[in-house]
Amino acid sequence: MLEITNLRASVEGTEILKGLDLSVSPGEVHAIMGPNGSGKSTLAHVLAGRDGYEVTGGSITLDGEDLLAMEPEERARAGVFLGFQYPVEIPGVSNVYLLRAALNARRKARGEPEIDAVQFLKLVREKARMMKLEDSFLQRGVNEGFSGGEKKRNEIFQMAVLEPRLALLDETDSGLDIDALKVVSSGINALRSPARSFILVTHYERLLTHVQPDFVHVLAAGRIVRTGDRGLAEELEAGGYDQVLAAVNS
Amino acid sequence: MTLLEQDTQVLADAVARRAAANNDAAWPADLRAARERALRLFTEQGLPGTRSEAWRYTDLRDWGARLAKALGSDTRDRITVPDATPLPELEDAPTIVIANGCLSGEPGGLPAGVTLSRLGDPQGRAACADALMEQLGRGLDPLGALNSALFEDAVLISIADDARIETTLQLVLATSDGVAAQPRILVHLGRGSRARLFLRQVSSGEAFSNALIEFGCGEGASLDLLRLQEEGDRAMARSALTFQLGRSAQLDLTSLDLGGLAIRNELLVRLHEQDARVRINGLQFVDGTRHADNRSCLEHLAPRTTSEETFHGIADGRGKAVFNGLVLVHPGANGTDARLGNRNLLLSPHAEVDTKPELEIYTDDVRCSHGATTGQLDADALFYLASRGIDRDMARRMLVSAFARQVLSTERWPPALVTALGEQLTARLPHGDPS
Repeated sequence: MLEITNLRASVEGTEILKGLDLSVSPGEVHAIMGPNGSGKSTLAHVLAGRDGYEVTGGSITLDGEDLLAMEPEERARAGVFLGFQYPVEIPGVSNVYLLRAALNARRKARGEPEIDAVQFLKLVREKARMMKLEDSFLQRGVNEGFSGGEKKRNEIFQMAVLEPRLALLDETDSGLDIDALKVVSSGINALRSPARSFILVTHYERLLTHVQPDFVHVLAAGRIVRTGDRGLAEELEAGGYDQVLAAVNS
Repeated sequence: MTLLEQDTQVLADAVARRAAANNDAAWPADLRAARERALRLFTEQGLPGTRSEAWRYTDLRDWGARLAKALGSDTRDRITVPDATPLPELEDAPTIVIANGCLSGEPGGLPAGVTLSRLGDPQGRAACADALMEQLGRGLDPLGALNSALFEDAVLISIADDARIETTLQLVLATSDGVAAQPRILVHLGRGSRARLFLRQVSSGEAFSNALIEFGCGEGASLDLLRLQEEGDRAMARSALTFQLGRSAQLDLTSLDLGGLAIRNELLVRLHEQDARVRINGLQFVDGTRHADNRSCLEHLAPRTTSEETFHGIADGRGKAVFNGLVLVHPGANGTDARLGNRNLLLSPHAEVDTKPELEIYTDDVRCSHGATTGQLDADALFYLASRGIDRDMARRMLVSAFARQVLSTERWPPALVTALGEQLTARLPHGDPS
């Protein structure tokens, strides 16, 4: 589904990703772990198409299509979803308005009619309940004045409504207390399906005790240096990045 | 004579000729004498130039030419008056129309507690004249003098003491193509009264309007005022709104400037007695080569007075938006709480914003803050929307519209009206392509 080959990317002239390879098949959950500054968030932003990240080499394809040739909105319509580490506050644009615009943008791109208002409300209410968000939340400005936990729940809520094929969750677990982490994890688990893949970018192992990954990758200095299963995350938790990286380098 | 002096003379002559034709023989002698003085003041001084600090960003030379032309060709009897598009919730609202400076027809359906008098009518004359004399005694700037010398009628809207007017009153100022209108309006809210007023400004073609509106709010009175300026795109309009707030009086003003070729608004709020409060939410939008200049002066004259002003500007194309906000805290106004904020969105590299929020404080016991920002659309927010599949045009439109709508509050106005106004804003606003 997603093929990343020898990806190189720079930010303001500094190379961050230095030949990264990753292959994700439908239904798989991949965790990308790594120390600060290893390039985890850069990878998520390059995949979503953020300005300021210059791809200097390699390729990314989604179902054989060149993802790098697409605008961020086209990637979203093709089924890529980025859950932000720091969701942006957009005062004056309500959650529900954003979601309706997003759904309709995708429908329009596919030549489908706009979503029926009743059907839409039913959908967002159902997903909001799943994320334990009150109905009043729908009318609030996007992330406006939300707590850290609410912002992250909102990201997963948006993902639930938009039903992407590839979800990139950038440090979705950071800043969450244990209750919020459970809500967010069960939201992610509820969305797991044979057709949908996930890339979980995370610094800590704790999210992975709630969302079981199929693969764990260690990213260091812009490349994936080790790949394993769930056990690798535990190893990292026990020994720290230093120990694991030292073993790789030796 | 320089060209400029020549223009000034032409304008002075046109104003003097029009004043000589004033149909005010039946008005009180002292009022007529005051008008004479105003005329002399204007003919001596002419329009202020850009060297005067208050007019630094608004050049009135084009206004002078427009004014002289309009005064020279009196077509008022043959012209049509533009209508204001009805808004939901207000279709049946009692409406007072001031067409080209004169009351148009007899407004029906005014609620109990509201009286309308006008200078042109012998019955209401004394009340109007008294209020005007008081106003004229306070001194005039050149445009105030122009209005005073030439207004053809004055209208006084009075709200009785303790009257709680729940119906929204609509006041429409309409100016026709080729006319120079001098609307003069007085609004008086009695002690403990409450009123909601929707002020609309519309025009067609090359209209010129110079409106003076004075509001007096008695002790404990509460006024919600929504001003929607939708002048035509060739109009030149200046309005001066003055408010005098008594003890514990409250003013909530929402001011929306969407139209006009050249717009200048002056807002003076005098928090005259203790515990008076004012809240202002403003928006000005310019595009093309349009110009809007909003000035406000909030004067704290008594203890524990509160002011909160939030003003947003949006400039696109080669438009120019000017904001000048002054909070003036007089000696003895202890416990003043004043907040003034101006935020501007520049949507084009050729657009211009000039902003100057100012505090002048002559007492120690105050809480005051002021600030101004000017910037482009937030790149993080644009990317966030794009990452949800929303294309750039739509994302820009959403952000511009959200920025504009922030000044609309549903606290004071019916939600359906606020929704309709929000839609109107969105329809009027550009998508803000910066290229």
